[in-house]
Amino acid sequence: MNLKAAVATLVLMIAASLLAFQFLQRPIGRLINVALDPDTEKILSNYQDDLRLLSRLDPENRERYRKQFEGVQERIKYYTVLELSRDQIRNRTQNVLLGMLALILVSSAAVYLWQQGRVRRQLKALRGHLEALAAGRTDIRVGNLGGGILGRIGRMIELTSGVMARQRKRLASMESLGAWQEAARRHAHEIRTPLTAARMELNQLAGYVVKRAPQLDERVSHLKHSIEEELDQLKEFTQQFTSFARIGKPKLTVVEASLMLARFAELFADAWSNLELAATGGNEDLTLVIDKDMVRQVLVNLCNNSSLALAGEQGRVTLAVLPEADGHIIQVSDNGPGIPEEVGARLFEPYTTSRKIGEGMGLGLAISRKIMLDHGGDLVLHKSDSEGATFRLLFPSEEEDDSGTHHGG
Amino acid sequence: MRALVRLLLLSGLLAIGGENEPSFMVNAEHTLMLSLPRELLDRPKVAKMLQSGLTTTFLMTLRARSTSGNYLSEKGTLARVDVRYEPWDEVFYLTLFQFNHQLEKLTIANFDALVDFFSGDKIKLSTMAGFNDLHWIFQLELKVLPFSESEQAQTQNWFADKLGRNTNKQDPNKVLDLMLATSIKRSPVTSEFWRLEYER
Repeated sequence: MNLKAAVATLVLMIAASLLAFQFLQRPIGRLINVALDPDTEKILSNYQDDLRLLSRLDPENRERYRKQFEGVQERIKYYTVLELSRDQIRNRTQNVLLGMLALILVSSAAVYLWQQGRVRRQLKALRGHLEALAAGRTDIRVGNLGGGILGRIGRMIELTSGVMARQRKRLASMESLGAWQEAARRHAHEIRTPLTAARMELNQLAGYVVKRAPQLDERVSHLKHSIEEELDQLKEFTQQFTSFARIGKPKLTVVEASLMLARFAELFADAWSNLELAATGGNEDLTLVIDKDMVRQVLVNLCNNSSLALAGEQGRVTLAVLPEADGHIIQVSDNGPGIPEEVGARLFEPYTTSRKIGEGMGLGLAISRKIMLDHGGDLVLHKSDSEGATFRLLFPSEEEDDSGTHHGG
Repeated sequence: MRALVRLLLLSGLLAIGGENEPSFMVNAEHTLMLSLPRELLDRPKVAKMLQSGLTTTFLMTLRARSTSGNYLSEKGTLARVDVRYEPWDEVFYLTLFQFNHQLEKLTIANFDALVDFFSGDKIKLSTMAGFNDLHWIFQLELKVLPFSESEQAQTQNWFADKLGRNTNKQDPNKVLDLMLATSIKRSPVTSEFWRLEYER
């Protein structure tokens, strides 16, 4: 509280106490005014004269008049005492008022000093938190500093700390994925050249053998076909390396989230024979700024994994939009067997898979996470147990998005 | 000190009595009697109080020392007269509290008779039996109190009643009312102090 506010508060308190005092002493003042009014004395005196006269005219009721007379006399006596004590009452009233004001001043000063001390302590604590923030700590907990400006600063420090933690994690993930992408690009390049040469030389070799020994034509053709199948599989792997290495930047458009999920569920209803897709109702007005095709690829990868995890059994994938205070979430849940524990820790690393060798390279989730990171968000495993797995696609809030997440497109 | 008093007496600087001053007389029973100046009772605020219906108290304290150094009483002597006007009967009721612890009640018919009473050597101050000193210095203090303690208490209660809050014991305003009600305290409407020479 600054000095100006303190003075204003003090003035208000004094004014309030004066008003309260005025209100309290109003009946007292009214009573004294009546007592001191000369007309009051005159009226009562006349009334006494009338009663005395009546008692003479009506001697039978003399006692009644006397009682009334004495009642009036009692009142006159009280008024006379009040009149005589007027200065004392006024002095006492002034003393009470001064006492109240002194009490207000002392209590105001005490409250002011207490608040100053409290604010000083809070500022000291905030300075410590800011120093920790500047030193790069990302686990800052300020605690409750109330709803005032210090409380808001404290919450902003916590928020900044949280954003820093997320950005650091994203950066680390992106650096890691970047290294993997570079390795994949080099592998693809290194494999593709000898692969092409091998295919050409296989054709030359088959032609040469058949020319020299036409009787081996059928046998050579069979062997050539077998070798070409192996080379095709190698080519497919190379293409997967290439697609991982060449994930493009998102081309952002505004998309109605619920509508997008509903269309996905409709379009891909027959894509997996053992999966039933369902988009649950959500906030109709919620929009996301995303690359629709890339996010769809993430959804396809997740559904593909669910289908494979079900191993031919029938299952269900539920898609939902969850609005959150600090961003938006698309949640993908299945009712499969969940993620094996040994895979969980390295789930999003490239080449991590629970499938047999030759049945997949384990790049789907790595690609999906890379896409989400490129959106300024993330892909996380929210829950996994025997009743199924739930993945969450986290999209940043517009504020956080504007504050530093780089988008391509 | 005594020499100084003697000097002052001789030089006539001390009051020796007059129309606006009390006078003293020792009667045949050696009782020192006091007369108050008529002017005192004619003062408007005193006259008004006397006819107000409240109990007006005349409180007199006498310190008397002879020029030879004898005291009538070391602590002084007290006399008190309570006057209450009864407006229905139009009479004054007097209660005299005397030095010998005797109580005397009188009824006086009108204001003039009351003035005559106070100025007529009727107030017994002290006995002078056993004192042969001729020259005395009297210091008389007079206070006229406008109402009695019981009337003060009654008015305080009435005042608190009229504020309408003292019936509720939990009322926080009761403190304020009490503070204001107890500010009703009797203080003298007039006070006098005389130093007088008296010669038997």
